Amino acid sequence: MTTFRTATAPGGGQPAGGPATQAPPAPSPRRRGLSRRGRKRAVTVLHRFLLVVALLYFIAPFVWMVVYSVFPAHDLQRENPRLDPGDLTLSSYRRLLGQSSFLKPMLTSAMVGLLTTLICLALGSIAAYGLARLRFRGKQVLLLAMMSTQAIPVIVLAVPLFIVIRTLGLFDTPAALIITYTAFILPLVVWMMVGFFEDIPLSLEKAARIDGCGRWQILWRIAAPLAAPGLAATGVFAFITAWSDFFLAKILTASNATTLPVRTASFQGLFANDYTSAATAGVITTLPVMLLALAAQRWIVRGLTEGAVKG
Amino acid sequence: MAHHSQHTQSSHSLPSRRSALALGGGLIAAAGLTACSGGSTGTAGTSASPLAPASSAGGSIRILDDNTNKIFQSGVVAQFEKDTGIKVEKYEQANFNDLHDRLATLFSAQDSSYDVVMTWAAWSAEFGRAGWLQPLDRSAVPQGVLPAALDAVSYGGTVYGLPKFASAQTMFWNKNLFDKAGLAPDTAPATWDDFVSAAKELTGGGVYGYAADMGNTDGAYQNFLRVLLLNGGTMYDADNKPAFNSDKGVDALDRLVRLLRTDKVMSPSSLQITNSSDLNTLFANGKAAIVFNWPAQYPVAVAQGALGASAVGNGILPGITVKSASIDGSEGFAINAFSQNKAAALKWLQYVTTAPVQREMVQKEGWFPVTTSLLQEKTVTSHLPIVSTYLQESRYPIKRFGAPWYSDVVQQLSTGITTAMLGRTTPKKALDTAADQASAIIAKYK
Repeated sequence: MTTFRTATAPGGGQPAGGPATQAPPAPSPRRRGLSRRGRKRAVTVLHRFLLVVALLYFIAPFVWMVVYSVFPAHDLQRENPRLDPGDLTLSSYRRLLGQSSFLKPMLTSAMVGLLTTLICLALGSIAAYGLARLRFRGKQVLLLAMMSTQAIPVIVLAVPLFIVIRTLGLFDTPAALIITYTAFILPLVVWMMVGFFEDIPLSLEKAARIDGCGRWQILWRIAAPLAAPGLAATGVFAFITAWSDFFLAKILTASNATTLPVRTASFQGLFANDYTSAATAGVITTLPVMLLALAAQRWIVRGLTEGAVKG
Repeated sequence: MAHHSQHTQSSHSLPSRRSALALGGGLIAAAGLTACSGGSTGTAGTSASPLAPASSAGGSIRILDDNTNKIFQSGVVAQFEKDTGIKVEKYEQANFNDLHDRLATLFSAQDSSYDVVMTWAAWSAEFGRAGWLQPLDRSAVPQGVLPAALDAVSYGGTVYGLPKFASAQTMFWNKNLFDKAGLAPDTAPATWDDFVSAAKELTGGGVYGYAADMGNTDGAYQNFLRVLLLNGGTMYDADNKPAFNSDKGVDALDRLVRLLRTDKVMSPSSLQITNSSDLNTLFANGKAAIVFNWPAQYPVAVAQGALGASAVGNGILPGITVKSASIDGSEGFAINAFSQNKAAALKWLQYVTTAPVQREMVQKEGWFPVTTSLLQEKTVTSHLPIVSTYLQESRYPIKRFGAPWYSDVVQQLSTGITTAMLGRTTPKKALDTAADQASAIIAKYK
């Protein structure tokens, strides 16, 4: 009996045995489709396309904000907005950056962000190192308890915080914000730093011990330098959080310690919106945060995920 | 008034910021934290008895205002100090959009950092009901204060403050466009039908007969409320049950929807305009022939380079089943219930309603005065002609329905209004759903 080899796709059922009689290859319905490589490529293209769509979706508001900051508002508020490159201007940036009413909040935000970051890193790295290296009962519970503070909505704490800050005589001062932000950010800093410290090989620390280093020396001379990328990423995270806060700054300050996000929001007035100033202030507020986030993205993600499973 | 189109609300599925702040306040009370809150804390509870004017008042006060007015900072405060001997230790202005949360926090903490705070219809109700504003005796209310303006600083029959300016919406029309369309430029559309008919004639060539600011929560509510009142409807019945989904309410929303979708005389941008100042600009640029807007529309429209005074018509809003009606946007000052110097604070409230301050308010800022006598004063009407229109409008209902649940109900209602405007549901369904939601919200306050 002559058995014809039926045309099958790779991996398809092929009759066993029988002479290998050559028959003209019949077109397979699956062959008419894409090959495995083609399909892979198609999936890749689709993935990339979806990523581009998602990217456009997320950056569109920022792009529009930039556009609003560099084109005259009256050109944009038409039924068909006019984007004439000849109309491009940086005048709103010059105007805002020349006003003390804008520069002061900017400096306040920078100072509050930097000091909060430094305090969080100093305290957080010590705590995180202890949690990463010391063995004691309830370590895991302590770490989780610290993180559980993050589950309390800030808004619920607004009034108690206000009373505490007022009682301390710190209302409307940068110190009020630094203390408050540190309280909120520190647990996250510890959480992130634990992961980074645990990544450092124990053998290095053992060697340091043999050489006579104490715990503190190991922390500052061995662990901290080795965890420097983690410290940087955690610092960026702390700074971004402090820099971007709006709600607490609104509640705990009035006119003396206004921060940049609060000042930016003030361009939306009761009877008028100063769209150009709002957009310009928005870009100035967002840009440093975006750049920092991009620079430290990999480490921030790693810190947040690794801290969760180690300790 | 545009503040009313500025509010942003969180999603209704989440606890509102308002309720969260209240919860925070409650936590404090439970924890007894206020006992150790230090020198700025006033006497908790305060006297519930209404405050009457004292024969003598002195010392100092601190005022927290929104940033609507400039005249206080630029001269009124100094003159007040000179005239009364009371020192204004601090006059602070804050962005209206931030003020609610700041005030709620201050009040929850029983803070006396400010003796006088800015208020309006919704806050008078919310903060007054919470016991955070000092009730005033009727003897503290100056003679001739306009009922609508007084309503903005009162709730449930209790007066919690005194108005600093009056505001209501009136109709503005572009006489040049009327003339061009063959309509009598000096004749205001007297009825809703006249208005719709004129708007049809005026629409074309890139110009819309009508435009509104319905692009956010409060804007959508205001625009519906206006037509509801013009149709003889009301927001709530005597028992505070939602009544905006009555036949009159459904008809009102249907008329609004028809302007946009059937008659196509309403600028489609109306659903995107989030601020009355943008509506001011649209009208002043000649892109909308008729608008119903706040007093600030006038100076923008008559400014150099805009329409000019001769091209701006102004009249009362055209009624449907009633002659006219309008919505209120008055603002005022109230006294912090925890203030340590209420007598002096009341002096400030009363001082702001005096004729010299009110004249300055009209002349320098374009708001309506708060007393009937000033509405008729020639020096006032000659400076701001639309004051005469407000005097006429004040003969008809001018309401805002400020209530403790204002923001939550407005949030739900505006969602329904916008959905109906987009043609995704019928006016009846939209309002019935909103009424059910409003009933559930209001029930929490009982």
